[in-house]
Amino acid sequence: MITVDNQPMKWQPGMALDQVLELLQDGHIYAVVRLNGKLISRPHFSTTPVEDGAVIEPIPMIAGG
Amino acid sequence: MELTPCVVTPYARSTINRGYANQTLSVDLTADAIEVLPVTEQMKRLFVGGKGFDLWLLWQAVGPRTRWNDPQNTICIASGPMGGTPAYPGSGKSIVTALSPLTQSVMDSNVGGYFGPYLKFSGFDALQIKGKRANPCIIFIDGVDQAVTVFEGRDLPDDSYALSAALTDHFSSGKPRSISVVSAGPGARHTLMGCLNFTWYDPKRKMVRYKQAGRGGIGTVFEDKGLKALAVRWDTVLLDSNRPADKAALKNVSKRYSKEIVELDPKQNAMARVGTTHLVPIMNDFDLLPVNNFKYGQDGRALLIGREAYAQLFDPGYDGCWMGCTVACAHGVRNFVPFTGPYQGKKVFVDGPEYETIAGCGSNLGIFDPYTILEMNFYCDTYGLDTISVGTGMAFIMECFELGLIDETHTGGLALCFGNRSAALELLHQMAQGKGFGRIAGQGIRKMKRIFAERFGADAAIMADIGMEAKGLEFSEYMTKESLAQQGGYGLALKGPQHDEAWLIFLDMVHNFMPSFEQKAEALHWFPMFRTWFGLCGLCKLPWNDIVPADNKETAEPAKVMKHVQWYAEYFTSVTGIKAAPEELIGMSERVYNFQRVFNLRMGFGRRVDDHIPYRAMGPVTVDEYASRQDRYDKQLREQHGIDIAGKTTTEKVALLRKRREEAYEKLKDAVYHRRGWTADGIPTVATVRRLGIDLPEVLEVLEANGVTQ
Repeated sequence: MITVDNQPMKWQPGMALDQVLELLQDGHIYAVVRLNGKLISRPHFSTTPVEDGAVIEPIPMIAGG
Repeated sequence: MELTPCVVTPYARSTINRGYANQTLSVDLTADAIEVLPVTEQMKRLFVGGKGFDLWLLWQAVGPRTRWNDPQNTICIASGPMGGTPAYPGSGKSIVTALSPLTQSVMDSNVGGYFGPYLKFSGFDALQIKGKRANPCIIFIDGVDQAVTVFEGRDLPDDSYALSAALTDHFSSGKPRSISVVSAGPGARHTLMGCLNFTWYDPKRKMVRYKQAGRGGIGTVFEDKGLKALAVRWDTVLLDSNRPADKAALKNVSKRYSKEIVELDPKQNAMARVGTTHLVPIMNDFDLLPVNNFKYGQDGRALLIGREAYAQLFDPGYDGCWMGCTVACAHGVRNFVPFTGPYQGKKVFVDGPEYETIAGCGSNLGIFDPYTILEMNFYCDTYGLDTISVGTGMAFIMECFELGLIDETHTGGLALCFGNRSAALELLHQMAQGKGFGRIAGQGIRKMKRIFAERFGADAAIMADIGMEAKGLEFSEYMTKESLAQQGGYGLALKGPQHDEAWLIFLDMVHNFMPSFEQKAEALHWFPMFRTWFGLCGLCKLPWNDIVPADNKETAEPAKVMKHVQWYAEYFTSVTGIKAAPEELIGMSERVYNFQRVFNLRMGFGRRVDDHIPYRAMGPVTVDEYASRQDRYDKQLREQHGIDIAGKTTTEKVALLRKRREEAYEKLKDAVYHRRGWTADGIPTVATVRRLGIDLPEVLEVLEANGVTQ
């Protein structure tokens, strides 16, 4: 089981971040997420593995300087 | 340090009512004249406060032929009607304006610290300083004892940090939190890119802290006037200090906002812990971090100078630059020991760095060492230099050096290639002292381009492409090549390429929310207008969209964070008593924004040609730059522009792409001018100024003199 945006989600072996976000209705809008406290940007979603028990918080980063 | 009073003027402090003191303070350093002037109802109605008041006062003080170092040039500092509210996050900003030595036109710069709020509570919505004095002087506004004094000073510390600390101690009568100081420093005196340091006293760390009004060289104007410092003294600040129209409503909206930030900031950008350093790795991942003079957008070493590095270095504790701000992003590093310069080997506290300084004095110089960035940050501040202009200016020099346009015979032996940390620091010290090659570097990119061409025979055309300035101001630190909207955000900004008007890169490039020219133009209308509004009211922009409500994504226009805009409207109404809906906030800004555009025009700028940006901001100038993103550029030429690139050399493809991108930027200008109600030459029409109610005779006169009569 993993936690995504405070909601439980079923974990599958070999999951990458982009696959997790595809399961969300609004996953496409996130450019950055926090995975177990660490910020990960979209260019790295597909190469970032998600372990069982992971906590993922999508970051609505739209602001900049 | 010896201070001798030469002018003392007692005054009657006005009672603040609904956010306004209803008077301004004028100091003429040539005539030794101190005057208290009324704020008219027209000023409040048309210009609101803050930057609006500053611009109106500056407009009256200068003429079309006034230059930055004329006595008539006037430094204006104002807070705003909500400035000084201790409960609503980000309510301690001051806005500073003057004619800029870099752009020769109107400059505005916003800054935290306690000066603006204390100035207002001392009885003044704005301060204007004109004239010059031969001997170094200090203006002290004592809001407690109700007197303004001009002191002549002897044996004053020269650098901003030492001077501010000494003056805080001198004026505080044992209550250092009651003092805020504004000062520049030797770097401001010897260059055209001087900044102003605004202080507040940090009671937990028992030390003076600093924020900077960095952009456009207003610190240089300050030093040119013979000013060493301003100081203001005020006592207790309460929610009642602004005498809000509806205290209960103010309390209510402030509580909601503060609570949300405390709850959501740790889950979002964690600015209360790491400031804006989180942006470094993110910008790097998206190819947006300026590297080697904006040539590239990423570097494998960026992690060394980002959030994770500075989270370890920042001194934990509360870091709000105004009372009660829950964003509290003004972090610093304790016990840093510089390895060069006058503070070599001594422990200092470094206020910063923020993202801009890390990118400007780090990655853009090919420097990926967090300690060198700290040292650049520290010395820029204490010398009174803008870290952005210093960083972008040095990046230009380093590229010129690597291209062979200049060499060691010109730089006094400094090998100013990318990544050379000791050369960068040595140049910084030279700039502050006005010595060696530092004298040239301190002139800014626009003048350097001319000097390098005329004196050193450098190629003017390549320098025009790679010199990252527009309107004479150095670019702040975001890559815009792949975001046409942000090219407009920089190029169409009134004062020059600073991102405080619009930051659209993610919306445009990453999310593709605005594919058409009309959508980009709409964004380049709404965002600059709303962001301008913060500067009218004494507010910081960060709480608006750096921490967003949990349900924001479900709203119709998430980028605008309309829930917060609504709260700002409530905030404005609760303090001023003037009913305001969100769209009326935009109207307030539109008046001031268009007035500033006309002001530029009056100073000989403010036309289409002045919105030009160097090609480096639009696309790849060089072959290796093209090669670094070849797949992207080839695809664009093929798919977006329908060009058969088979058999074409990279040089040919660079030229083909350039033609399309330059055309697109001109089309963007057309769309934005149309949306803003301006002529095709970028001038507000008579109909626009009439609609906005700024059809003052002097405004119409400027328009007519520039051929605009309808």
